[in-house]
Order: sequence, then structure tokens, then C-alpha cells
Amino acid sequence: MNEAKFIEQIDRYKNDWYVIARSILKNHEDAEDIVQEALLIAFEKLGTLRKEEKFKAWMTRIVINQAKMHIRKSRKLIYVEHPGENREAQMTEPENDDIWEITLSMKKEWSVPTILYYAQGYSLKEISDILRIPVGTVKSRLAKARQILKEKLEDSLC
Amino acid sequence: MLDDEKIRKKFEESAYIVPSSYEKKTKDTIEQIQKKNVKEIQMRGKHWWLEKKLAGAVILLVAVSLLSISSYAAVNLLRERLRVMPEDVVKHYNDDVQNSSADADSFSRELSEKEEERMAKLRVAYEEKGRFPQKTILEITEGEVVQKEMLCFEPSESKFYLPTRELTDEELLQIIDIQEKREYSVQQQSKQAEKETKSTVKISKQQEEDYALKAVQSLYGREKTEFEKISVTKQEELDEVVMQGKKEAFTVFITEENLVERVMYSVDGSSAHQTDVDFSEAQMREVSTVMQKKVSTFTGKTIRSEKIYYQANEEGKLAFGTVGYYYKLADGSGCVAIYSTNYGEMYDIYVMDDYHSIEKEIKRKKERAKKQGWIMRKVSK
Repeated sequence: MNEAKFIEQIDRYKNDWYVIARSILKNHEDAEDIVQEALLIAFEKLGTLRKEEKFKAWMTRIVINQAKMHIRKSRKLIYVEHPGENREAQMTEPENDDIWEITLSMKKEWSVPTILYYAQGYSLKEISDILRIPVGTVKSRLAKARQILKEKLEDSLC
Repeated sequence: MLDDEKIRKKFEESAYIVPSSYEKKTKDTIEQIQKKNVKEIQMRGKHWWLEKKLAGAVILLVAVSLLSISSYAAVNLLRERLRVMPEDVVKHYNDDVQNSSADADSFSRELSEKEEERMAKLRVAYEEKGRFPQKTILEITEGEVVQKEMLCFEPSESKFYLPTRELTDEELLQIIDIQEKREYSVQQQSKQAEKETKSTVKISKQQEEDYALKAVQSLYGREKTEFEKISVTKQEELDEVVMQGKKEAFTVFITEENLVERVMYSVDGSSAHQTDVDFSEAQMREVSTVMQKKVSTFTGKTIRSEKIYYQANEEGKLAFGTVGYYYKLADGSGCVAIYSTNYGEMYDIYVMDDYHSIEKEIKRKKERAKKQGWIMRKVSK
């Protein structure tokens, strides 16, 4: 992929990467910075990308890695394990019924697959590859996220 | 009803507003990338020595790539080594594992520190560099006399009989080899069994409701009449049945293979979790009996091993008021059952295709607990 194409792709998908970073880091400043870091890394590594059509997913993976690394380094956002032996959420109550607000307030394990699947149109297999988790786990995480969305949004969807 | 399409539509309708500061930062980054690229091109033109350096770097890169390729090739070699195992051998290894009375491999004597270190290195060499033993380990049957100073393996007890002297590299590789082959065989047989039982027939909502009721009935002893409302939400991959009683609710997840994958229990107005709960390990062990029965009922499989963990705070109390029971099942799959001390009941049970996923989950939880200043404690038997 040449530079022009790379920049064109950034322009096209930058908002998708931002929301992914935002859903992991839970604050917009860090999310903005992490995507910038990821873009620079991606540019350096561009030669390792074998299939151009996989660029978006490849870049999403870099954003996720950077975001996770940021959490580990800064410990700004300490992951609080839900009492439910890691399967439940450490959530903040969203103020309204905006689907984005609800999703972004979910625990990252649920918000990231939700965004990838419902908002960005990735298949379960692709999500499994991006997140390096089994398809079954993607499914159960989506099921839990649906449960939350259902509770919060049912009225507005009926 | 909230289904996948509705959620997608809802996302489409409410576009996420990205902050303007992000736009600016991204624009700056793009400029930085463009400048960097131009600069690199200019430098290449001005400094011939840089090209030499680059050429050196290319050589290095090629060398690194070759190393990577050889490592990749070695992984392929291992995969090939396992893949070419005849079907009857795979079956033989799998049967040995399934029929073994032991939960895990054991050794007739402890490995010395030095042996453990060498074994770890050899395992890497085995997995990544294709370093395999010259011969396979000697397998003996139950009751057979173990020859002194000879390495052998007794499958019915999953026990390695070791010589008293230090093990050679070849012997350590033989141990690693049979462990890998057995693990591979169990996985293969498990996949095969799954394929055979996998149903492609989609069932009706009524059937799903019946499945869910059956699961709740067998796990919690509730009858259909106790529920005021039962709703079934069919999704593309994982269907969900919610059963609402007067003061409690159950959520049951059903996979596309028509298997009940998970059951969650909740009591209205009460959380399954509490902080800083006094609950002794003896009590946890008592609960274990009930949990084992529930897991056997839920999965219909034989339990091979059980691990009990809880997150303890600085005072040794339950940080969240829950205890995790982790089970390895006879077919290599796993099941997790979580007990809530507040409910005095299991509030979550789910299955996982591969027990290794559960081990990874435990590891992750240990790390997270540590970060928060807690300890993920294992309950001793």
C-alpha cells in the first residue's frame, strides 16, 4: 500500500478507530492520542501488511493493542473485575438512551465486539481474528451486550 | 423485540460525534507521516552511505526473515508430525486420556530444577524449532514391572517413571512428545465428536423455551408455573431465553447447535455480589459437592478435575462475595460455575469448548486481582 492510499484509508476509517479506542480507554483524550500512535506504527509497519483489503481490520488490531498497552503502562484506567468473576460489567450509568453512550459505558470486553459487529459490520470470524478470541467467546460477549442494550433501549426500539 | 437488525439500525441512525480535536490531531499526524516520507526520500538521495546502511539493514532483515521462515517451517513440521498420526493412534491416545484415572500427568520422582529448566528450553525447541526425539517413549501397561533406570510411561495412571539419574535431552523430548501427541489427540477426537453431534436444524422458539425450562428445572428445581413471563429472542448465533418469576429471573443462552450454553440466575432487587464477605474455605468445599452435581447435570459429562478459586482482599475475605468452581470434563471441554454467597446459590454456569480457555481465564483473573491488591486464592482440597 502506498502513502496516498494509506492516507485515503485513514480519512475513511479514522472515526471507526477512534470509537474503538474510546470504548477501551473510556476517555476521549487518551483515545485521540492512541489512534495517532497507532497510525504512526501502522505507517512504519505498512510493509508487513500482505493484503490491502485487510487494512482496516489490521489497523483496528493495532489500535486495540496500543490501547491495551496504554492501560498497562499508565494504569490510569484500572480494570475493575466485576464481582461476577469477570463476566459482568463495571459500568457507569449512561444519562440517556443513546446507543453509543450505552455501548461506550459498557465494559470493554462487551463494547468492542458490539461496535465491531453492529456498527462496523465485521463478521463474527473477523472479530474473532481481530480480538484473538474464539468465535464462541465473541458470541457470548455479544449476547451479554445485547442483554444490556435490551434493558436500556427496549422502549425506544418498540 | 430487540434483534440484530434493530441494533444495527439504531447505530446507523445515531452517528457518533467525534471531537473536533481528534480531527485536528489526525490531520497533524498525516502531515507528520508525509514529511517523514519526504525526508526519508531526500536523505536517501543525499547520502549514499545511508543506502549502504539500508542495504545492510536489508541483509539483516533478510536474515531475520529467514530465521522467521525457519521458525515458521518448524511450527509446520510440528503440525505435520501431529497431523500424520494415523487415526487409530489418535484414537488410542485419546482413549488413554479418557480412561486414565488421573486428572493430570505425574512423575515417579520430582524433576530437579535443572531438569525443569532444560525441559522448558527443550519444549520451546520442540514447538518452535522442530527438535523431536529420536524414539518414542516406552509405554507400559498397568501392573507391568518397571525397569529400573529406564524412562517409561504408564497411560492408565498418566504416570511417567523416571530413572534416578538426570534425564537426558532425548528422554525429556520423549516426555514432551507424548504429552503433545496426547493433547492433540484429545482435541482432534473432541472436534470430531462435535462435528458428528452438531445439528444444523434450527429449532422453534417453543423448543428453545422447552430446552431452557429443562435446564432451569434440572439446575434449580423450578417449574414452568413459577414463571410469569418467558421470552425468547432469536439472534443470528446465540439465542436467549429470559424467564421471569415473581422475584427472580433466569437467562438461558442457546447456541446455534441447539445446546444450552449458559444459565444465569438473578434475584430482583438483590445483587449476586457483596464486598468483604466472610466465607471459609471449608464452606467452599462443602458447596463443591452441590456444584459438581449441577455441572454433571448441566453438561452430561464426567468431571475429570475441579479447581476452586476466590478473590480475597487483604483480610482474606471474599472481595466480591463469589466463589468460582472450574471443571475439566472428560472430553477436554470445561465448565465454570459461580457461586454467590449472597444468594446462597449458583448464579452463573457456562461451558467452554476447550479447557485451556478456562485456564487462560484463571490466569488473567489472577493478574487482574494482583493489580488491585487482591489475591486469587485456590482452595486446597
